[in-house]
Amino acid sequence: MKQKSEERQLMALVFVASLAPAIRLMPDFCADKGGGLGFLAPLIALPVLIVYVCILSAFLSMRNEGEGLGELIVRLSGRGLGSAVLILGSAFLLFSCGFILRSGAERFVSTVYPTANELPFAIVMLVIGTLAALGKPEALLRSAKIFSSVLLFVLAVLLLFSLPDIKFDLIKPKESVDIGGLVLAAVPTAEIYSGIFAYAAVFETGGEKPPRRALRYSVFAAAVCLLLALLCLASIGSYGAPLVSRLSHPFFTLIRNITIFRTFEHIEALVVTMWVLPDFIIFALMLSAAIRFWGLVLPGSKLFENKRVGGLICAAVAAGAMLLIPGDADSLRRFSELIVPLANIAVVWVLFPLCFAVAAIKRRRSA
Amino acid sequence: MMRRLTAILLALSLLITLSGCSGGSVYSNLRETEELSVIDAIGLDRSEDGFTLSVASGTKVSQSADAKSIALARERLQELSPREQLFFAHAKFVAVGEKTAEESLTPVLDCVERSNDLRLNTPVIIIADDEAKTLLTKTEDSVSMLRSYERECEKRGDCRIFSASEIISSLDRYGFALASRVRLKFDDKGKVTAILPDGYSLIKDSRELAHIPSKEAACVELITNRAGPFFTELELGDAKAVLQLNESKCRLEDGVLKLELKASLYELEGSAKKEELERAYSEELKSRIEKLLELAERTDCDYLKLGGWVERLRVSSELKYGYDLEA
Repeated sequence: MKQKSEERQLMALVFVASLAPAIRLMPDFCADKGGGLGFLAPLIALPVLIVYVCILSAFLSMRNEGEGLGELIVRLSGRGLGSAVLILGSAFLLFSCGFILRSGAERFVSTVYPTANELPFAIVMLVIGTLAALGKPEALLRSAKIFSSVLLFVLAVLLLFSLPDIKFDLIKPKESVDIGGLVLAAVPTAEIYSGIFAYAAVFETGGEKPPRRALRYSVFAAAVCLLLALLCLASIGSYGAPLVSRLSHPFFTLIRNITIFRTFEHIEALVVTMWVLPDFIIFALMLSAAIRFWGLVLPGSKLFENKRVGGLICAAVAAGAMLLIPGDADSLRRFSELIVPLANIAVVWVLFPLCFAVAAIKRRRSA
Repeated sequence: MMRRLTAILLALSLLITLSGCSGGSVYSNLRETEELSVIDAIGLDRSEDGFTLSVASGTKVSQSADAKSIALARERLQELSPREQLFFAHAKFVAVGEKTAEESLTPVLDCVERSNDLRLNTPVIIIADDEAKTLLTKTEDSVSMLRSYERECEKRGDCRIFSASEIISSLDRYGFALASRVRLKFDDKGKVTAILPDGYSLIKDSRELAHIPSKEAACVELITNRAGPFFTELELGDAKAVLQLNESKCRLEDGVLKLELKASLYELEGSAKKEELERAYSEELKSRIEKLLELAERTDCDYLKLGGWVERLRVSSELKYGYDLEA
C-alpha cells in the first residue's frame, strides 16, 4: 500500500515538474518544426520514452533499500565514473535551477506584469524552493500530489473550453507530411520526460521494489503524452502552426482568449500564477537532486554532512546561474530550445546510460 | 517545530509582498480600477504622418491621436487622458479604415499579435469608404452600436465578424483571408446613426483585394455551411416575396457543387406558385454563387474552402409555406 502511494506521488512529481518546461517549450516548438500536425509530436515521442522507462526500470531493479538513482550509479558503475557523472549531472541540475528561476520570472513579466522587475519573482521562488529542497523529500512528494490534482483540473477546464474552437483546416497538412520535422518536434517531449523520470528516480528509495515498474510508468507516460498532444492541438488548431510558432507563450495566449460562458474572461493571470506550482516543484526537485549528488560525490564532507550548508551553497550557485542567464526573450528562447535540452540529453541519454551499461557489464562479468 | 513555523512565516511574508492589491507591492504594476479607462473599441487608420489611433470607451471616452507609429499614437492618447490610464486588455473590437485595409493590414494585425494586452480573438471590422476614426469619434456610443451589430450578425447568419487570429492564420496558411466590412450611416449633422453590414473584404497579401457585397457574402456562409436564417428578396413579375432560409447543405462532389436549401415564405405581395418561388429562389442564389466562384477564379483565392475545381453548380430549393401566405 505504502509502495503504491509512493509510486503515485513520484508520478505526480514527474507530472507537475514537467509542466513548466513542457508548456514553455512545446506548443511553439512543435508548431514550428512539425507544422499543423505538430500536435502529434508528444505521441511520436512515446516509444522513445517507453524505451527509456524500461532501461531506467531495469537499472533501478538492482537497487538496495535506501538507495536512489544517485547511490546506484556510484555503487554499480564505480566510484570514479559514478562521481564524474554525478558532478556533471549536478552541474546541469544547478544550471537548470537558475534557468527555471529566470524563465519563471520572465513568464510572469511577459504575460501578466509587463512593467515589473523580474528579480522579486525569482528571489521568492529561490527562497521557497530552497526551503522545500532542504526539507524532507516526502513533503515535496506530497505537495506534488496535491498540486497535480489542481493542475489537472485547470488543464481539463482549459481543454474543455478551447478544443471546441479548433479549426481542422489549420491542422491538415498543406502538402506532404514532413516526417523529419515531426520527429524533430518530438524531441522536447522525449528530452523533458526522460530527464524528469531520471531525476525523480533519485527519490525512489523505498524498501520494496515496485513490480512491473516499467509497465506502470509506460502507461503513465502514454497518458501524459496524450494530454500534451491535446494541449498542442488546442493551440495549433486555434491559431495555426505559423502563428503559434511566432508567439512567445502560445499556451497562455490561448488562455487569454478563453471566455467561459460569456461570463468569465481574462483568467490568464490566475493560470499563470498557478504555473508557479510546477516551477516550485521542478526547482525543488532539481535542487534536492543536485544536493544529493554532491553528498554522494563528497561522502563524509562537512559541507554535506549537514544537508543545509551544502544545500545553501547549491542554492547560491543556482542563483548565480540565474544572474548569468540573459533575461531577454531571444536568449531565453535559445536557452530553452537549444542549450538546456542539449545539456539534459547529454546527461540523461549519454552519461546515465553509460553508467547503466558499465553496471550491466560488471554484473555479467561477476556472474 | 519553531524552525518550521519560522519557515512558514517567512514564506507567507514573501507572498504578502507580491499581492497585486497592495500599495507596498514590490512591483510597479499596481492599477486601481477607478483610475483605469477601460477601452472597448480601437480604431486604426493610416494617416499622412503615419497612423491615427482612435479609442472608445462606452459614452465616456472617444478620442484619437496621430503619430508616426501605432505605439507612439498610443502614448499620445495616454497624454490626452492624464487622469486615467488607458486599459486596452478589454478591447472588444478593432476597426480599420478602408484606406488602411487597401494599403496593408500588416501593421494592424502585427499590433494585435504582438500586444501584451489585446486578445488575438478580438473581432476586426473594416469600415467601407471611411475611417475607423469616424466611427469611434463621431458616434454617440459606438461601442453599443458595434455590440448590437455583432448580435445582429449572429442572429441573421448571413455575415460573420472575423477575429484577428482568424485573419492572421488564414493569411499565414493560404495567403488570403476574409474580413468583415461595415458601412456607416450618417444623419444630417454628420453623426453616425447606424452600422450596416457591407459584406466581406477579400484580403490577399495583407491588402484588400476585392469587395464581396452583402448578398454574395450570405452565400459564402451557405457554401461554408455556416449560414443562419437570413432573408432573400425575390421579384416574380408583379409579385414580390421574401423567403427565410431554414436549412442548407452544401457539398462538392466530382466537380459539381450541390446546394440543397429549405426555406419558408415570410412575405408575399401579389401571387406566386410554390414551384415558381422555388425556381426563383434557386436562380437567385445560383447567380450570387456564380459571382463568388468567378471572383475566386479571378483572384486565385479559394476563400470558399472548396478545395477543388467546380465544373457545375446545382442549387435545389424546397419551399415550406410560411404564416404570411396562410394568413
